[in-house]
Amino acid sequence: MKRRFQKKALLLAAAILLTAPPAMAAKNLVAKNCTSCHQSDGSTIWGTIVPGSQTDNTVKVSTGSYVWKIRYDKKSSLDSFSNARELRDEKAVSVEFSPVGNDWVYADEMSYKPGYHFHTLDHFITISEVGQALKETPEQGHYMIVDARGYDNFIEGHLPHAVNIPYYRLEKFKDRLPADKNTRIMAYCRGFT
Amino acid sequence: MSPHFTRVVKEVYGYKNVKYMVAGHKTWQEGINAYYTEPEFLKMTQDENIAHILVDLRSPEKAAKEHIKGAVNFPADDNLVDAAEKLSDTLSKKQKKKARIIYYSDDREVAEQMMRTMRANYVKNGYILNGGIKAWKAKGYATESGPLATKISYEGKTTLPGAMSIPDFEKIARATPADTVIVDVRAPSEWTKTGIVPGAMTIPIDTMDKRWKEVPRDKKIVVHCAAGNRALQVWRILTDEGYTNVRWVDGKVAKFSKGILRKGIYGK
Repeated sequence: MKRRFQKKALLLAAAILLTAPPAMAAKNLVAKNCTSCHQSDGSTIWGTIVPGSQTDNTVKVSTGSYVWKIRYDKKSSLDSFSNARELRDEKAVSVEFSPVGNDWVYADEMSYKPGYHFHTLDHFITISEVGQALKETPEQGHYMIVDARGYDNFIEGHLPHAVNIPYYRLEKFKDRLPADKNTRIMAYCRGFT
Repeated sequence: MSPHFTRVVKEVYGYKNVKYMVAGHKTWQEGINAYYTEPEFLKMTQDENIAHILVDLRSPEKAAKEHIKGAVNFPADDNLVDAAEKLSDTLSKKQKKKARIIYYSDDREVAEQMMRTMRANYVKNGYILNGGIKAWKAKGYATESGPLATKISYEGKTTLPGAMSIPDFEKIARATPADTVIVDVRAPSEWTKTGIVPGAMTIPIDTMDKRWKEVPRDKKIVVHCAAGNRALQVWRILTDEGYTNVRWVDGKVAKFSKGILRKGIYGK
């Protein structure tokens, strides 16, 4: 009896898989970075806001391989915001949706991931540690010191041996990062303001 | 800035040993540590007539043979303390407090020592020209020969190129002309609290690298942020990308008069 039931269940599952439209499979629901905590349930998207896509009633969410076009309105339940423009570019969001048309989906519920804190002691370095390291040249000490501020701040004044990689142009200047991934990298900016 | 940088370099680029200096460059400076400026900045101060004092620390013979325009000579190779005292005597009170003083020498050690001695005892600001006169020439900038200036002149603007004052900005913000676009580069988390200038574009600086193309090319652009620094960086991005009519607001949002910022509205 039991075996027959299992067989039935297997057949049913296979039938569901076969009849599902093939296009849905290509539309990735969960971005790679989200998969460690979230799994697809078929009607929720976990992804990041596409920069500049926020408008009063639409927003695009990228899951890496696919960009979801999402409509929302006053009936959508939005968690602690009222307009997608309040969401920062590339912010991590989750959207519970129901499909409308081929390209678009409608957001029944939308919420964003609160920023997580990166300020932990193992990421800090003190001035005296930096001062000690800077007594050697970067070649001797096998380190790199990065000024993460903008170009104009950098040329006006910077620490000895510093290399300028503005944080908002990292992609453009990524060649300035060292080839060896084990190099000691020390970054600084304006500090607390 | 640097926490963001550290996080991305670690998580996206896979570097293993990344840390950031929490205190920042200002505290580094206040600790009277060596602080360098680039030849590009010195060139800009000359071209844009921004007030600065340039000090040549080499021997009088070397300096007379070749020096950078506008430099004054205080030889420090033999007696550094003496040179520092002499330099301090010629500076006025205002200059000691405000002036950007840039030192250069062939010897990195001498320049560092001089800057630190001056900062520890007499003046507030001090910069060392990175690479000295060699780096200056390597950039293709001109040098001069002959006698150096004997009197310290400290004249010129104190504002950086493209800067716009708060009163000028307020005129534009109150009635934005049709040919002008205001760009707000703060994060949404900031402007949802303070409000925005009606009609302004909102593009946060974090993604400006991808989104600068949204800024119209045929309009006059005014960039503002919360305190002026990010606006300056965006001014640099846009001028680098070929925009010609860009200004940035050098001042704090908190100093805007009432009624300029409005809450509950969204940018274009």
